[in-house]
Amino acid sequence: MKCTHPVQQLGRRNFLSNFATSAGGIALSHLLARDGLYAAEEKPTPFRPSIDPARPFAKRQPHFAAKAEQVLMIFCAGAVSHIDTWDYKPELYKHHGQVPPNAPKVTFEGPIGNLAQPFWEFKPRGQCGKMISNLMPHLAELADDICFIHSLTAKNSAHTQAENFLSTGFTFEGYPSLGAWTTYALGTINENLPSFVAIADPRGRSQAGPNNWGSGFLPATFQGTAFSASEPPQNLRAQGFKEGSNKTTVDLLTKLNHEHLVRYPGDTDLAARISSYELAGRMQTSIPSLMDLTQESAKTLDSYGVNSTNTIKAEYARNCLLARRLLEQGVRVVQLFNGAYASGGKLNWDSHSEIVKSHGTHAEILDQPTAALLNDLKQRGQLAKTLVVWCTEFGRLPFMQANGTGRDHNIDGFTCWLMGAGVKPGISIGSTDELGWKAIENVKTLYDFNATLLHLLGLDHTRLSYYFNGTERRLTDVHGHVIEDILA
Amino acid sequence: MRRMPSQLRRTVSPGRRVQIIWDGLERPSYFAFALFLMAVASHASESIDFAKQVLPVLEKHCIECHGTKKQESSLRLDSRAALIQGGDFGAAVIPGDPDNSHLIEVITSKDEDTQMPPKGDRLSAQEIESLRTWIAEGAMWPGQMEGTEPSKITNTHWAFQPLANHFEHESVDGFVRAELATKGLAMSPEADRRTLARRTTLDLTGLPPTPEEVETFLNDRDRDAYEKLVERLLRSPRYGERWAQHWLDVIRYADTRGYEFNTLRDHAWPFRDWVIEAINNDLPYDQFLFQQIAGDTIGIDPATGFLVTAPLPTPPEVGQEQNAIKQARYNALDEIVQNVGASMLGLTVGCARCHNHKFDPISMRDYYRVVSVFSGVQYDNRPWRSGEEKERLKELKEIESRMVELRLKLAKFPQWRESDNGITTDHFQPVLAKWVRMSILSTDATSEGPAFDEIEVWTAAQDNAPSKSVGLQSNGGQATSSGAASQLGSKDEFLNDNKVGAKSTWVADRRPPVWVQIELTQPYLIDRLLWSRNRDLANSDPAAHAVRLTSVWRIEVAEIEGEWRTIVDESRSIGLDASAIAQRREIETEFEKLRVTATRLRIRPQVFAGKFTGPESIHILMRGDPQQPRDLVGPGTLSVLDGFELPAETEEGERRAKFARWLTAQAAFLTARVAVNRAWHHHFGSGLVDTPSDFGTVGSRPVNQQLLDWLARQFIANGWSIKHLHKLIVTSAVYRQSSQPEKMAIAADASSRLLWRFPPRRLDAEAIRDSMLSVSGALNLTMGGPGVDIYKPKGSFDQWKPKEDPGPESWRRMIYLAKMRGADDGMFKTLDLPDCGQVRAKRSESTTPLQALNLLNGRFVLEQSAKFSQRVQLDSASSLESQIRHAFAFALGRPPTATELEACVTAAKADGLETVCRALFNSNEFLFIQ
Repeated sequence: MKCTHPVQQLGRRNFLSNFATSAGGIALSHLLARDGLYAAEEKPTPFRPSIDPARPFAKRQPHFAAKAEQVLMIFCAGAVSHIDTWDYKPELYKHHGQVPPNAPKVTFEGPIGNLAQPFWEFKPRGQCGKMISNLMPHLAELADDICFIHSLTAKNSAHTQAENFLSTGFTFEGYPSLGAWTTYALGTINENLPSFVAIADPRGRSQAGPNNWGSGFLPATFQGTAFSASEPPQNLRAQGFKEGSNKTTVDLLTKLNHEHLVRYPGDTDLAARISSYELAGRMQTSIPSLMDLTQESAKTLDSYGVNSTNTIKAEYARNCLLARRLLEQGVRVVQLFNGAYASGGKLNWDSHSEIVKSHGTHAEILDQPTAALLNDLKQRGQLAKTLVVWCTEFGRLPFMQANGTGRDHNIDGFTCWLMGAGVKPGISIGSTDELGWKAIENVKTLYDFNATLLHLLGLDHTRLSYYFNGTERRLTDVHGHVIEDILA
Repeated sequence: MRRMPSQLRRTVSPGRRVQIIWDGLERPSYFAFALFLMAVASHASESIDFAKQVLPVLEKHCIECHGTKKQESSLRLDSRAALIQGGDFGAAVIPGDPDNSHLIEVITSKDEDTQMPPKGDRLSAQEIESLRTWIAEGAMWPGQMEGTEPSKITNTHWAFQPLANHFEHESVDGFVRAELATKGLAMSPEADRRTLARRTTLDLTGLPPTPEEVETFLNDRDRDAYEKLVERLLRSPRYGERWAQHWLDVIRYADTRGYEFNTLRDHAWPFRDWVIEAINNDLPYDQFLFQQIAGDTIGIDPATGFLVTAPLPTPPEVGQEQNAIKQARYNALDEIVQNVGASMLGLTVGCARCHNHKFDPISMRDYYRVVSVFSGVQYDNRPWRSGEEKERLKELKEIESRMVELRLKLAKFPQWRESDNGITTDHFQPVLAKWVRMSILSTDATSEGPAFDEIEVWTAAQDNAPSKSVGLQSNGGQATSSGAASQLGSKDEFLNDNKVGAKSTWVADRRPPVWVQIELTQPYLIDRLLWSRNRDLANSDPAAHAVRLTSVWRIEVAEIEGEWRTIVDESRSIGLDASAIAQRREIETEFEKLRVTATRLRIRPQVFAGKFTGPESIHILMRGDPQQPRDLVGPGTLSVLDGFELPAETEEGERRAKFARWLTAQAAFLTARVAVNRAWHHHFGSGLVDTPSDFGTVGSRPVNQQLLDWLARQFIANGWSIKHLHKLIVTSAVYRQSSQPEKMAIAADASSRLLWRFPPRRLDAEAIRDSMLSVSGALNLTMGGPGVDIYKPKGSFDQWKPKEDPGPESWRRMIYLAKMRGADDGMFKTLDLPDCGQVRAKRSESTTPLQALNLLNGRFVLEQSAKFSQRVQLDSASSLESQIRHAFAFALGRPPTATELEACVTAAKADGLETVCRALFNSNEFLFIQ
C-alpha cells in the first residue's frame, strides 16, 4: 500500500514498533520534558485515511458528520478591493483626498498617495439590507445567502506567496492544497471522474498556478486535474489513433497484465494499476459527456451569459456551467478561477493603476455568470450539500498609490465570503477599521479560514495531518481556530 | 506563555494602533515608564529574600504555565538552571543583568502580545522590583547554586550515539537473515538471471538492459558473472545520470526561480553536471559534501550550486517594505539550512528557527549558528573558473589579433565599415563639414523607429593634432533630429551627451525615414562617424541591443548650410568599382564572423552556485522575527553533535569550510548513517530508516540498527566510496532474491520491509521515460550542457507551457531536460514527479487513472511506440512473430510465452505492430522493477 503513510503502515501491520508513537518514544519525550528542554505537548492523534491502492478515490468517512460534501471555490486572482465591493466604509467618503494617518511611506509596490472613497456606489441589498457596491450587481442580489467575513488577514503581500498561503497554508512552494487535503481525507463521490478539478480562467493560469491545486508531499493521486470548458483534460484520447486500435491496445494490455499477475499473485500494487486503467477507460466517456453543454437549455445558457459578445465572459460562463455539471456528478472539489497572471491589472484583479477600468473589466466577466451558477445550484438543491467559497488572496488599500489611480496590496484586512452547506446565510462577521485598512474586530487569519472550511466538510484541521520532513504537516500549520460564528 | 505567532501579531497590532490614533489617543510613553522603574530601583538597596519575595511571585504568576505541568515556549521557571537555560526565546534570566533579562522584559511590557502573564493580573510594581533586584544580585536560589551553567546538551536518542563497535554479523545477509528469523521468516531463493539483469540494470542506471546485455549475462558461466555485471554497470556513465537524480530530488534542484517570475536560472546546469560527474567518478562522499558546501575554496565552482537550489522570490516579488525584505533574506538563508540539514545530516534543523526544536536537541542558538555559516551566500551567478578558462582567453586573443589584421586591410578602402563592442563606425575620406547628418531608412523591427545611445563625429588625425570627438555637447556640438519620442522621455541632447544607458538614449518618435544631425562649432576635417544603440550591454547581453537597431542608413555632410552632399550611401559604393566592393565585402564578412565569436568569448562563463559576500551579523531572532533580534551568534554547528561556535569575525569561506569538515569529522557517524540509508532506500524502495531525511525523534527508528551501523562503518572504512557501498548491497543475497509474493510472508509483512523478498516497485517518471526512449532506439546519450527546453518561451509572469512537439533534441535522458518549477509537462507530472518546492527525501508512489491516460495517450508514448515498432521491423524483417519476439526482448528482456505471442500477433494483425509496442510500454512488467 503505497498511498498510506509509512508510520501508519508499520503501525497497522502491528509488526515493527515505530518509536515516535511507541512506549519507547513516549518514554523518551518524557525524559526530554523532565530535562526542561522540550515542551511535552498534547498532540492531537493524526487522522489516517485508509486508502485502498486499487481505489484511491473511494468515498471515505469524514471525522464527524457535516452538511457539506462538496466544495466550489471561486478564486479571484490578483486581489479584489474589498472596500470597493463588499466592505462598506462610510468614513472613507469623509476623508477622501486626505493623507492617510500613520501610514508607511511605501507599501508593496512603492510610494503611497491619498485616501480615496470607493469608486462604486453602495446600496442596501436583499432582506438583510447588506450594503454592497454596484460593481457586481448580480452577486449583490445574493446578499441574503452569503456569509461575509470582513476581518481576514494574510501573511505575505506578494501574489504568488499569498496564493500559496490561501491554498496551502504556507507562503512557500511545495505544500498540498486544500483540495488535495480534502480528497486525501474524503476520496470522492463519483470515482468515474477526477476527484478534484481546477478550472483555469480563459485568459490563463493564476500567479501560483498549479500550487493552488498541487498535492505537495501528499501522493500525486490527490493533485487537482486542470481542465476547462474549452480545454479538455490532456491525453484523454490518443491523437491520430483510430478508435478500434485503441481498443485493441487496451485489450492486449489487459491480457499482458493478467498474465503477469498470474506470475505474481497477491501483489496489490500490480492489481491497483490494472484497475486504474479500467477507471481511465470509464473517464474517457464520462468526461466528454460532462463537457457537452449542448444538453443545457437556451434559457440556462442565456442566464449564465454563454452567448455574451464579451468573449472572455462567454468563456468564463461556460466554465461556470462546467463547474455546476462537475458538482452534480459528484466531483468533490471544484476550483473555478477568475483572473490569470500579473499583467498590470489587465488579466486579473491586480489594479495598481486605473482601478476603475480594471476592476470594471473583471467584474463584468465575473458577476453574471457566477451569480447564475450560484442561483442554479440553489434551485437544483445542490447548494444544500455544496460549500461555496468566494476568495481572493488579499485586499486593497483604502489609499491610492502615488500614481493616484490604483490601490496597492492590503494583507491587514480583507473580505472573503461563504455560502451554502453548513454556513449561516445573510450574515457578516468581523470588521476592518473605519477606513477598511486593517482588521480590528473578530480578526481572523487565513489559517482560521481554512480550519473553518475543513470543519464544514467534517474534518478536524488539527488531526488531518501527514508526516513530512520531521513533523506532522497540516493545512493550517500549527495555527487556526474554526470560526464558530458562521456555522449554521 | 500563550503567544500569538509573529505574523498574526504583526497584522493585528498595527491595526489597533491606527484605531487608537484615530481616536486621538496616544500610547503611554515607554520613556516615562522606564523613569518610573529607575526611580523604584534606586530605592531598593536591601538584599532580597528569595523565599519570601521571589519564589512566591514566580509561583503566583508563572509556574502554572512554566513548571512541571506545562512548559509553554519550552520554558520552565521552577529552577535556577531552567531560568538560565531559558526557552524558545533564549535565557529568561541573566544573573546580574536585569536589563537584558527576558523575564523582566515580558513582565514589564505593555505590548499585549509580549506581556506576561498573558491573562489575569499583571505583576505589581513591588513584585517587579523584587525580581529585578534579585536578578541584579545574581539570582541566588538557595540550594541550587551548583551546576547552574546550561549543561552541554546530551541526548540518548539512537541517532546521536556513536556507531556500534561490535557486530554479530559480517555481511548484509547475516543481519537480514537474523532479523527475519526472529519473525519466523526466511529469505526467498535467488531470482532468475533475466530478472536479476533487468533489476540491477534499472536500479543502477535507470535504463533496461539491451537484449545483448541480457544474453551475455545469461551465457556467462563464470562464478562471478553477477559481480562482473555490477562492475560494468557502475562504470557506465548512465549510473551517474541515474543516481544524481536521487540527490537532486532531496535538494529540489530546478532550472527556474519559482514563485511569480519563475524565470530561468540559466547557469544552474553546471551544478547538475557536476553531481553526475562526481557520482560517476566515485568522488569520496566526504569530498562530495565538502565541495558542495565550500568547493569554491578549493577552486571547484559549480559544486556550491547545492547551496542555492531552493525556489526564491525576486526583489519585485518581495516588495518595497523593509520588514518584508529582511524576512525574505532570512527565508533564503533558511532554505540553505534546510538543504544542508535534510540532505547531509538527516535532521530538520529548520524547525529551530522560531523556537527550540520541539522534538530534537537542536536549540535556536544551534539554528542561528548554522544560519551564520551561510550568511554570506547570495543566490546569484559567479564567474566559473573552469579548466576551459585559459582556452577561452587564448582563442579570444587569436581572434582579436586577426580582427586587427583585417581592420588594416579594410582601412585601405576609401570607405569602409566596422562593428564591434556594440559600436558601428563608418570610415570615409577626410571631408570638411560643419553639419553631419545620418538618415535612417530602416530598422530591424519594422514597427518601431530607431534608437541611439550616442552618435560621435571624429576629426581625421593630423601630424600635430590627434583625432578628436568634435560632435560632443561638451565640445559645442548641437544635436537635432526629425523628432525624439518625448512621451518616453527622450530628447535630442541624448545623441551627443557622452552618456550611454537607457536613461540617455535617443529614441525616434516615428518609424523610418528619420534623421539625426550634429552641428559642429565650425567646419572640421572629419573622417568617421560612430554610433551605437546599447553599447553598455553589447558584451553582456547581445540580445538586448537588437531592438530598434538601425539597419540601413546614409550619411550626408554640409560645409555651408543647406549644401548637403552624401558621403556614405546605402550601398556604400561611392568612389568604388564593383570588384573593389566585392573585395571589401569578403573582408567584412570574415570580420563580422570573427566579431560574433569574439562577442561570445568575451562573456566570462558564469555558474549559478552562490555569490559570496561579507557575511551578515546573525542574531537569534525571537520567534524567527527579524524585528526582534537577540544575542549575536557566531558561525557554528549543532551542540548535540559536538558542535562548535566560531568568532563572529570568522572569514566567509572559512565558515563554510569548517562546517563541511565537521560534517564528516565530529558528525561523521550521523552523516554516514544518513548516506548509507539513502542508498539503501533507493535500492530497496525504502530505507532501513524509513524517513531518510529525518533521523530525529519523530522520524522512524531503523528496522535493523546493527546493519545500518555496520554499513556506515564499512562506508567510512572504505574511504567513503559510494560505489563500494553499492557493491556491498547489490551483490548481497538479500538484493538478489526473488520478488515472488508468498502468502504467509505477505500476511506477516505486506510491504516486504523486512526483506523476505526483493520488494517490487514501480519505476519513477525518469526511468519510465528514459526506458521508452532506450527501447525505441531514439535515446540520445549526449551528456551535460544547458537543459533541453521542452517548453514554449514565456512572458514575465505567464506559466511555462510544454511545446506541442519538443522534437528529437528532447530525446535525451530526462535529467538533461530543463526543469521548470510549477510546469506541467503534460505527461509525467502525474507520475509523482516532485514539484521541487520543498526538500524531498522520497517520492510519493501513487496509482491513478490520469497516469493511465497519459501513458496510453500521451504524444510522447505514441511517438515512441511508433519508433519502437519501426525499430523491430527493421531489425527483424522476417516475420511478424519474430518481430514480436524482438519487441519483448527489448522491452522486457525475455521472450513472450505462447499465449502472449498469440495475443500480440492477433493485435498486430488487426491494428499494426504499434499497438503491441504501445501495450508493452503500458504493461506492469515494463513499468515495475521486479
